[in-house]
Amino acid sequence: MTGVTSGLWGLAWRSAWSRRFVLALTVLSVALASFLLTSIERVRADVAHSFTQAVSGTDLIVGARSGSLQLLLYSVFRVGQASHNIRLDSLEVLHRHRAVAWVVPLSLGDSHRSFPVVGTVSAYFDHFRHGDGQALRMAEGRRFEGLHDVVLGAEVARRLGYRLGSELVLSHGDGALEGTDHDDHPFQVVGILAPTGTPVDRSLHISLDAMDALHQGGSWGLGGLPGMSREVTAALVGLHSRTAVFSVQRAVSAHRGEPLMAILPGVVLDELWQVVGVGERVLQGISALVAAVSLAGLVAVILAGLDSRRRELAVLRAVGASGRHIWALLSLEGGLLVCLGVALGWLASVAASVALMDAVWLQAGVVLRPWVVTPEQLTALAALLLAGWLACLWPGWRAYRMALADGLSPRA
Amino acid sequence: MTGMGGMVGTSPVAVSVEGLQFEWPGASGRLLDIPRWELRGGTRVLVLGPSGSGKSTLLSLLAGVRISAQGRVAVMGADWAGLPSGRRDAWRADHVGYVFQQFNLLPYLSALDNVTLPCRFSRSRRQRAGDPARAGAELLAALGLPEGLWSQRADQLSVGQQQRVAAARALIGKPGLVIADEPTSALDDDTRDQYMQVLLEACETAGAALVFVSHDRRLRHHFDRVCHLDHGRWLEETA
Repeated sequence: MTGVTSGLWGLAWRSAWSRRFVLALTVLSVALASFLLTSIERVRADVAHSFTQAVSGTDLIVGARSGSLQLLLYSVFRVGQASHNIRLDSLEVLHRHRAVAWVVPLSLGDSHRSFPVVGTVSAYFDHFRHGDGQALRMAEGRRFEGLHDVVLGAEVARRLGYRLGSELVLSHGDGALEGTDHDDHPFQVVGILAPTGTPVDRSLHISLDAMDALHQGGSWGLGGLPGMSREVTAALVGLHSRTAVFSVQRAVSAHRGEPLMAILPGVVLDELWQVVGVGERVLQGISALVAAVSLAGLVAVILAGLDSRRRELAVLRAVGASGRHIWALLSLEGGLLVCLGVALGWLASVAASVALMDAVWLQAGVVLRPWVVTPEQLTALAALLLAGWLACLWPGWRAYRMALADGLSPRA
Repeated sequence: MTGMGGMVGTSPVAVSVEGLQFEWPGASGRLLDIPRWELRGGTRVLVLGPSGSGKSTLLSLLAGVRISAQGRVAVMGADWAGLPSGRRDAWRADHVGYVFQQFNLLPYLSALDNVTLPCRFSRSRRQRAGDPARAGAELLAALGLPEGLWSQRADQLSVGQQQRVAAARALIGKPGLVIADEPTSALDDDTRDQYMQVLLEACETAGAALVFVSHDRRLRHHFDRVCHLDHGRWLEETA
């Protein structure tokens, strides 16, 4: 039996080699399906990953009492606006809580050419974390110190072509109204942050004092009204121990001075992803369709090649190959082609994401992870393998029937 | 013609047909009706009939590719209908050599590899051949294929050369029955006579019964027995 089987292997190989161009097309169509499926799945997973890693190392985010999603959106993603500000002295009360290690205030609402401006303190650069706890890193320059210093996110610098020493003017609000520029208070770029793949890249950072200076002595003529309490928009809070997170959250809610709320960013990020995850399912649907179309192409290629193989199959039958031999030959060939195609497609997808990693990061702020294989990717590849093999079995079955019906006299 | 006498009488029965009646599914009227027919090893039979007379059907019944519901067709002592289909394939591989009209060879194999193909599928053919490559070479030499062509790809050979390779393949490992389905129809007259000569000699050497189907009456002088098949009517010429 071993002689027969090894004989079959050799034959299968030489037969396949003689049809290598058609078979290469077949492999290519499987590889295309595998490439698209893997790539779409990779983008989906990495977008989700980048999204949920937008902030880390922050235990609570504190803001005026509103919706938790709203607070997350404006404090982390800089989308939308706060309904109310919070008083800086409320944060000082919070800072005195035993469990609280640090409080970083954020003052939002201004912009520069549609990029959001964040007024904060120098400790922001120490405590803000993203991804798996990575800290912010200066690519060039230093942190802000003076009232005219600004630190740019990587994308702001790249898009607007700013370098260290560039001068710029901030706008009040989203800058949509004429004459709302703080043009009497120009800023100078003193630092540029390294890319993070988070909304930080699209932000400009100035000190809280600079923010106050803009609004008090500036074009709005408020002139530093006496007795006006300093306000900020939100605050990032770090604890000595995560176990205290719920008690601090309750303490914030119970604050008497003004209505405040505190959210756990990880929990709300997940909630938010549930909302925007509809697009994720659309992507998955599209990749399934792509795979189905490629497999249909695979079946068509195999079926088209089958008639020309009739003679070969009849000769094999005549020299003693049984129906089972022919069946084995065809499904073996199909199985190997599908495996090869799936592997090639996967490799191509890895290669493509290595090649495009920087561009995708710069354009979309998404960090591609070429070497990460998610369970969803594995499932998709396994499903493609199975479907591809089944798609080869059908032509195989037809060929088997044809070989039996042709008997020993093939119609050439 | 000398092989007829004593030698054939003692040879084993290669083919035995009894009460065969085969009707094509859906076709009205009986297509094939052979009450009794027996061939011993070494016998050479020509089956003559016009195209569409049922020759291909007869051959597929003899080779056990089709099974008749009525009657018995046995090759080398085994009734095709009595074998399960897997065993039938194996028995055919062991005992039947087959030459087609055309397109006999796998184009991507060399002439010699085509000849030794049956030894890949049948252990007993392999054992009877001894060393398949050597047996194949001997057959090709006997059938007059120049040695320089043995390692050529099959699709680079002429039609006449291809038919010699096909004959060698049918004969390797000494099967009891060789079936030839109009192998000479694509050959010109000179090549045809030469081919017949070497095919018959090789069959005789192998001790195989040869059933040769053709519509060409000029071939009859090469054979021991001549049968006629005409739309199901079966008639054997008496010497």
